[in-house]
Amino acid sequence: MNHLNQLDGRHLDLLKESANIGASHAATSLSIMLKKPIDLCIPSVRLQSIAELIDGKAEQQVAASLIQVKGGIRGCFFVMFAIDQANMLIEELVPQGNICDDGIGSSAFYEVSNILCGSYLSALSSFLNVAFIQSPPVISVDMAGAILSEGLVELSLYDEFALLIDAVVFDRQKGHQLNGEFLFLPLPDSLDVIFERVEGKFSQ
Amino acid sequence: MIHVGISEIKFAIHPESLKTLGLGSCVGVVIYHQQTQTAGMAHVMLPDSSFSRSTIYPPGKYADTAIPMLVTKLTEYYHCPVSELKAKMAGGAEMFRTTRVQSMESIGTRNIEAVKAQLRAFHIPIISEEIGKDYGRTVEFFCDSCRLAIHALFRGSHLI
Repeated sequence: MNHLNQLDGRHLDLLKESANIGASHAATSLSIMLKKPIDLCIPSVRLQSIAELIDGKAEQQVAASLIQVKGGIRGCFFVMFAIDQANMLIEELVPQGNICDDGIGSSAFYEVSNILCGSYLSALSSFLNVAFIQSPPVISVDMAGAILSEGLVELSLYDEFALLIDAVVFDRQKGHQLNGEFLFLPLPDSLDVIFERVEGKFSQ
Repeated sequence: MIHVGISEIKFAIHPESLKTLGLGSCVGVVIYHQQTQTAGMAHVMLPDSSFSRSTIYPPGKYADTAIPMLVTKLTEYYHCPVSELKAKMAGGAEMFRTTRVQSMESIGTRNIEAVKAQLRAFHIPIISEEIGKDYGRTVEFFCDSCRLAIHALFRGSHLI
């Protein structure tokens, strides 16, 4: 796959299914951690220009962690919450914790994103039978545009477009008050790996 | 207000202003001509176009293509003498405090250096700058006062 525009509907469906498996596992982990049901929207998989992706969220205030994915599939993975929602999540785990406290609060956020990303990727890894390595998360609390652009630097060398795998989780009990976003951005050469594996599964 | 998206280059004459949102490791650079209240802004994402793995890219994306484009347009289309052009810049932060032990500098630092090297090549002085550190910035340039407003979360706004 040299160009992302060679993707057709079937490819997107395959990716969506892979994402669904990953995100469901992450949502399950989150609901175990918080001891309450966490719902998941069906992930969206779309091709979006990097400029639109960044400009669309440019000034949203978020707490985000970035995890580099290496091994069989390469890319970057963002776990993103609005700042107040990140704080709500932290408070449920460590009362008095805060995303900006540089202590127990931010540490809890590191751990949550590590677990969410880990369960997403390990589900994907066993579905595709590809081994991944995930880097420890780095976090930043700032404007989404500033955060995403730094994570997208490597991707932007290949193309002006990025394949965005996006899933939203929310807390049913609190209405939509706990919204989180998983953003998985595989590098173009890694898409081939995904398709080969998934197509292999279907032909068996 | 004219919005400059990522990797874009835009121009404005007073009373218009130029604004770009959420600069992280990207650099927002303004080259302006005070006498005619004309300015151009680029939202530079990367230092050097030789890194690109595709042949088609917007000129505003890389420092080595954005600055020449800004200068050419200001001198040839807006007829501003190159000797009277000045510059201001902001951005080039390192958003994530990484623990990596790498000799390579952060992308923000390299963006800043590349923009400065380009401006030096055209002998355009940098009047003021707010660069580096670890936070995102939204900037707006006013063509009459030639001031660059910088807004950051938790830090409020100020003019440079």
